[in-house]
Amino acid sequence: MASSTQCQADSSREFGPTERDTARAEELALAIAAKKGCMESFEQLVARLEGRLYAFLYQKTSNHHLTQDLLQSTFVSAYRKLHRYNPQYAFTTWIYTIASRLAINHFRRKRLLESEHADGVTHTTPSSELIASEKAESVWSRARALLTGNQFAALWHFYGEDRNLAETADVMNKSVGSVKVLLHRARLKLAELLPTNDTH
Amino acid sequence: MKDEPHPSAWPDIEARLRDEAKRDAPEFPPFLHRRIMAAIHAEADKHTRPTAGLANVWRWVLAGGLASIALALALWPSPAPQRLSDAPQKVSEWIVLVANSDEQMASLITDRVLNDMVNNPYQQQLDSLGNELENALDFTLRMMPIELALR
Repeated sequence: MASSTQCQADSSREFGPTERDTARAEELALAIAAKKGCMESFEQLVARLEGRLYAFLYQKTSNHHLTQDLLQSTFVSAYRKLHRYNPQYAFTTWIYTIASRLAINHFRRKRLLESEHADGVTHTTPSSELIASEKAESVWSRARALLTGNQFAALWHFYGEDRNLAETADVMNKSVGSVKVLLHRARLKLAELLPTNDTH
Repeated sequence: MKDEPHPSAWPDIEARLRDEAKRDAPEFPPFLHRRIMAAIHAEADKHTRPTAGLANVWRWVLAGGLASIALALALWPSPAPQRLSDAPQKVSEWIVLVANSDEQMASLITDRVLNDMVNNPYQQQLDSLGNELENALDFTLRMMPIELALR
């Protein structure tokens, strides 16, 4: 277990005026302590981020079991690569990038396997069809099918996690201008599809 | 405008995105935190295992060092035991010396006492220790292949 000196978070760091700035500064201090070898700090980071990351990954996968596996892989991978984390960037940026890449890799492998073992047979039941149709109706399901990874991530951080433009840009490690463009294109794509098909 | 086909629909889309994100928010499984932390601890243990391997190497180095010391002690040339054939000559020397000088006699007695009382018992103990170390070395050499075979 790590020593107490490893677990000392830098309290001299100046916190920003908003609650989110404070949370970000705390996460950064925890990440720096975890990088020095403090397991307790890393556990605190896991506890802080696991819920948000779970929701983020679930929106990408629509599958609870897969989301659980991906979330576990995300944190284990983050722990393994902690020595490579650069504290100049937000810890959330880093860990969301890991989660996104793991999800992308999973679907890439899955597509590859499906194309290799395609037998043309689909196993569906009435209940699974109903669930699938309900999920397909969801605006987020449509967004997932329609948008690129970055557009979906921008949309999720902005609307799903209720972040502002600066925070979204920070988490995605992009400029505010880039995020605006991503959001604009995402909304355009959704607007093309949704009003014509939905009577909402 | 071609780029904005349905601008009037945007507030509706934004509202749906916010509402459905809240409505469909998945419940975080209560067991998952413990599962994740167990996986992280297992990963941390994997990183600390090479240290145990190193300790194992040091143990073998220590055992090898001890075996070498034992071997060196066993093979160290011990002082040759006094031959009995020299004894009559020595006795005659003593007689001559005793006859010649009280001081020399005293020194002879001291040498003899030293030999009998101090050197000889130590020599016996050293011989005995040498035998024990030889036995220990023999035992270690016999045990080593078994240890290696068990690994």
